[in-house]
Amino acid sequence: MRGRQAEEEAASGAVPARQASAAVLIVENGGFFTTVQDLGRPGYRASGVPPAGAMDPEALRIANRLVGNPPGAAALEITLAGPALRLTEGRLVALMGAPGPAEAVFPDGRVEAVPFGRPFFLPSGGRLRIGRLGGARAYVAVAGGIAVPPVLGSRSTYLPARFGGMEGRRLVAGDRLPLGGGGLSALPPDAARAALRAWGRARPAAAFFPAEHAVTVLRFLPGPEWDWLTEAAQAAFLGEVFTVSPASNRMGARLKGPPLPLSRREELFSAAVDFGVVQLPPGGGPIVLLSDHQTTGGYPRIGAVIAVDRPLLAQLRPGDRVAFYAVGRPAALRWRMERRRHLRQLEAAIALRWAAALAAAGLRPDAFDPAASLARADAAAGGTTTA
Amino acid sequence: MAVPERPQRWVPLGEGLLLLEFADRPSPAVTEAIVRVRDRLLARPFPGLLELIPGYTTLGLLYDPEAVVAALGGASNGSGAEAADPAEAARRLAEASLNAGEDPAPDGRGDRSPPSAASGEAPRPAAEPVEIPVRYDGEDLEALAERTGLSREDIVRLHSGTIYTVYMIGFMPGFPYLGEVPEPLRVPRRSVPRTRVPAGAVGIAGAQTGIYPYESPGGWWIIGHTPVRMFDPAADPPVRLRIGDRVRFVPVE
Repeated sequence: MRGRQAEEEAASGAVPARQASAAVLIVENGGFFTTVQDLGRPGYRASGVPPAGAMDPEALRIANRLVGNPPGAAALEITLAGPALRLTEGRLVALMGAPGPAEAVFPDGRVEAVPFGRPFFLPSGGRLRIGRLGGARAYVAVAGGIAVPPVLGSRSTYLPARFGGMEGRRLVAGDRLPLGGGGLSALPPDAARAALRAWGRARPAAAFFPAEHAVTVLRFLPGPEWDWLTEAAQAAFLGEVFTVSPASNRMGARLKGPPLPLSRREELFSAAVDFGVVQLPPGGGPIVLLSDHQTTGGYPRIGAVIAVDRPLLAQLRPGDRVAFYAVGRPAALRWRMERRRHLRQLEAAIALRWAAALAAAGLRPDAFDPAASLARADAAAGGTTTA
Repeated sequence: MAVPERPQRWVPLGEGLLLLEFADRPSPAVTEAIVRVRDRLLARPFPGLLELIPGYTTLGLLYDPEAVVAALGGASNGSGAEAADPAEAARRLAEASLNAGEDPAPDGRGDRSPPSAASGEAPRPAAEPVEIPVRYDGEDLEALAERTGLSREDIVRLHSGTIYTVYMIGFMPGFPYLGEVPEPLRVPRRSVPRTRVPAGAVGIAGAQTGIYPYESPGGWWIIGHTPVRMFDPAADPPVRLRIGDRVRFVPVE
């Protein structure tokens, strides 16, 4: 639905003038590896289409909420070191994920450090430069979202088949990304600045910044072939430290560590796998499957990292050290529900802070409510424009 | 061989995936059983069911762990979550869906009667095989002829003279795993995978043959190429072949 609406927005002039958007995000430098991602591409795994999507969906959701977007709007996923970007129209912007140095360069030449976890306004012609991250990944959300055409219901980039996002590839200098309309993207610059003054310096999302770990402990559910490991190998897997290999990517984190001999070797036929599943190719190191994982796999599955630790997996850099800690499924569910509750509380807190900031700036909050403005855009796309 | 009507094992993988295992080895009959169970679950999806992902001998159920536990009345508000295993909840919900999908036997529960032609579950009509034109000009044809002792003509005759079943789609969007390659053509995958196999390449490895939808690395023996596009993200459905389809390769010049 989201996709059809955006296509029609882009294709027709039938949206109210303030929501029709020719605004563009210009890539001046792609950084180390930057892609367009949303919450992924569900529903096509039986056709071999991986879920893709943000490696850290929580950070993406929070970044979107900070600029008043629906949580699943498309944003930029930065890897290791950030890009340099320029806006052709003033917009609210937010950074979330592993913090790193970031600065806004204003059209008058003034340079200002900008925070992670709090919205800021970048005027038309303003530039955003992001340096080396304190982890592996961070997100740049822009009010209105990145409006590249959706493919199979998602704007996420899937590199191996080269579709989604910006022509199915990472961003390079010269790329021009269309921005969507609606929500807080419709705030005029002066109103945005007034509202941000009222927002203050609070960073409610800071509790969701990834912590730095000497060793990242990943909670782990033993899987179908756990018993194929010898007793010594099981003890080594749960007792020793592994190092993330530079051969890791969005498909999987490859780990180097102690040898993990199997006491059984039977033919396995490819079956469905999922984010976090730990495969052990015979004679190789364990591989933890990530966003772009193949839909099926035929290697022994010694287990899976629990869902609540996905943000930790998203932040692993080559050379980082990890250890595994065995838990049970009921506990994994309990932690997951707790985490979800915290995330919902944070999203509600951000929405309340925006409502208060807009009111303090003399603006009607409901005029910029993302849901309300999307409904207006839908109505407009249906041809009953009021503009 | 008896056609399994129900999974023989239910294997959890992580919190959100449950694998229904139907057999130790793939076969067209196993694939038919997987398709039947998939269709029943599609007809009666349980709360929290997200996706159904067929494998060679399995059907993967991707589910929302919180939703399946909540559907059984557990852990709705934190209390009672101590003992709630989402995989167990997903299994109970899936079994209920499958049982509801059967005609009840006169004595109560339908799942006790042995499956038979009279159970109302007519086998799917055998559709005409999908024909895939192939130019048999693959870069590994020569090496394969040497390895198997077959002539190029024999290889083409054997490969195109078989009707294959789509056992599953995986590896890449739209990549069909087809079985089964005639015995004389079976060779293990190449010891050194190619870094670049073009889109449309037709390969074989062991008892399987397949078609690369995209240029990618690959370890199969490339025997030919097809102009048929296996995956088109702009099309609905995006895939050319689906699990259970029958396929015949037609040699073209």
